[in-house]
Amino acid sequence: MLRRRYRLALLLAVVGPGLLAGLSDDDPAGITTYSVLGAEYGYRLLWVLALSTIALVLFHTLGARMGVVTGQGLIGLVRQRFGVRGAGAGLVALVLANLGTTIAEFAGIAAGAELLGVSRHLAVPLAAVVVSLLVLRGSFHRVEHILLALSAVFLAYIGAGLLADPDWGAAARGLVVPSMPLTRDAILIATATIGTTLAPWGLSFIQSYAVDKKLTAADLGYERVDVVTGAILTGVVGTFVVVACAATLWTRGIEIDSAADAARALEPIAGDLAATLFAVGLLGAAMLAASILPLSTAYSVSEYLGSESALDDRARDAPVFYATFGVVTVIGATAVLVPGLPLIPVLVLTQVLNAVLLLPLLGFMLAIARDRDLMGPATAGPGMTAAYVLAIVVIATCVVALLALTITG
Amino acid sequence: MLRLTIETGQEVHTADARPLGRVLDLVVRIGTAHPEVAMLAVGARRIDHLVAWRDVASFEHTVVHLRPGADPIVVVDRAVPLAEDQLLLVRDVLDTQIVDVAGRRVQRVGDVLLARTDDGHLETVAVDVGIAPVLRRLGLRATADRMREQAVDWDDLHLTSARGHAIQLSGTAAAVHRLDERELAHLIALLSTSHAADVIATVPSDRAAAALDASHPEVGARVALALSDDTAATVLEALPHATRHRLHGLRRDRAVRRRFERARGWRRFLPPPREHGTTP
Repeated sequence: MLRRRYRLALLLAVVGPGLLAGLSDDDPAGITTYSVLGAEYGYRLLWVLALSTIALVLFHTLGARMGVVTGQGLIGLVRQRFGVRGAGAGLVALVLANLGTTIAEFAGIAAGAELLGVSRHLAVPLAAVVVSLLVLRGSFHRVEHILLALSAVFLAYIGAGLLADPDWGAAARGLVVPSMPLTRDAILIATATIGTTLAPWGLSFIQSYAVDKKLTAADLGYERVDVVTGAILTGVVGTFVVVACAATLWTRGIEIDSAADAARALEPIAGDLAATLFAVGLLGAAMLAASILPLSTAYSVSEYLGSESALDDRARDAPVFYATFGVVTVIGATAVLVPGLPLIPVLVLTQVLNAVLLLPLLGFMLAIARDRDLMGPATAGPGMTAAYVLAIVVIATCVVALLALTITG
Repeated sequence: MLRLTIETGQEVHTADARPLGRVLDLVVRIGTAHPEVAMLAVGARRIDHLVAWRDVASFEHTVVHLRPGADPIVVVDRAVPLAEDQLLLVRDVLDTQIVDVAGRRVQRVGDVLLARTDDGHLETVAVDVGIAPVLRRLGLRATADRMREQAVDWDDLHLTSARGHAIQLSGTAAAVHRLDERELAHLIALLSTSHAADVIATVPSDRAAAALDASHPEVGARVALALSDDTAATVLEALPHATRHRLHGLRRDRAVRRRFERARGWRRFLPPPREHGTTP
């Protein structure tokens, strides 16, 4: 009996951090993009999410492996391998993508607050101050779990999906049989789905997270369990968001123009409280991501410029680090206060930007994965290399198709 | 003072004016406070030849001329034949992380500073870890020239690249061998766990034990968990009883080990300040 309990404790210890990481990946931009995918295309594009989840597993395990083996974050490692010019290009892509996603996270805070009847002009600046204090004053590590618990509200989508009486046959077909309307809007939402699932910030974050844990090569097995658990959880929650929206919104021809529309997919499980539940989830997930994104960006910029910084550095010892944190937070919060800014398009279009900016970063990761000097025995073999290349080609095809359809009208 | 990024990239000509390639890298032999350049690594896109410094007639940043009878070593299958105490400055030092053991910070090398010696050699003096070399290499020379240099003496740095770290530990002149237990405790707090375990395994066991004892408990535990059984047996035995008991317990319990595989919240766990009244 004791032995069984011990094993259970060990298993929970193993999957616990992975579950937390998976929950934090389902940010407002992701939930909104998956909602639009389900509401506008039903079950038909579920395969895009399935492929994105496979790519997420592939590249997040690679990022964690790179972090553990080299002890360095993504941009620092790119600088070591490609010099300041190559790393500069990678940093520009990452910072632009992170800025876009930070704006999306504050858009999530604005949407969540407005669902609860609070003006975005009050909620967004307040949230910016609160997340900055949480991170910089040192209590972030403790509050992280509260924010994760709030964002765990999105697990309710699993219940909503089950209760909404979906067409499981159509869902299964959509999950495994690829089909794509060749319209700009369909390609756009497919690209946004890839960009929000496999976000640039997630790649740099998972690597620096592995570095921060100071793991050794002997821990790689456990770390892989964590990362795969988190990535699959992201895909499962995303799939149920699509299924719930397809069953409740797509079947009735309701398009998502506001957060209130998206919240209606939770009605099968929450009834009249759907909007409140959705708002709480949005606020928790958005505040968590809005804390992590400026922090992750500040680390990448410091890493590039050569002065590795930590949160216990004083401001005068790490001016670039704290200035970057402040600038990203201020731009993210200020952008969503522009009068009349439509929040749902902002949330989706920033994820399209993510997909475009993913390509150079994935290229760098592939080259590092193949570099025996850097990766030693953990160097990617021919099979894994083929899988990485295939994933990059699929993403590039989506981006090129989107560009072509946009240019040709 | 010469800069590695400016002193590489120039054409190499043999004594009969035949182009051999460009200087892609410089080979130094570790073992002195300021190692001298032993060879030039020459090639078009990748290293094809190694040229001994004694075969260099003149070394300018525009062109390098070799002496008559120079006999470059041909590199076969991309495997650069280096001796155990040699490393490549561009590959193993430039843009890699170093620990400044005097300033107790992790930095990234923006450039390597070199100087000509009286006997005509080229020696490594320091690394520049500031923003200026980054800007200069991006072409923003005017801005870079207005910024101050942030040099770390070669003698005060610990390299973290795979080859640099291994070579420094195997030699006797590296900074790590001069550090006392407090300085060692600071160094292992800044290194990755596996590199920190390498350092502990390299220094004498009494100093290693003292460094673990002086470390933040979190760092001491992580490093103790990463030690090989043989090293742990000797190092942990030299610890005070309470610390030894705690670390032995950690090494035995897988569930407790798992607790250490959590994020640290992007904070360093530096050694706690020394208590008043303790001997330095």
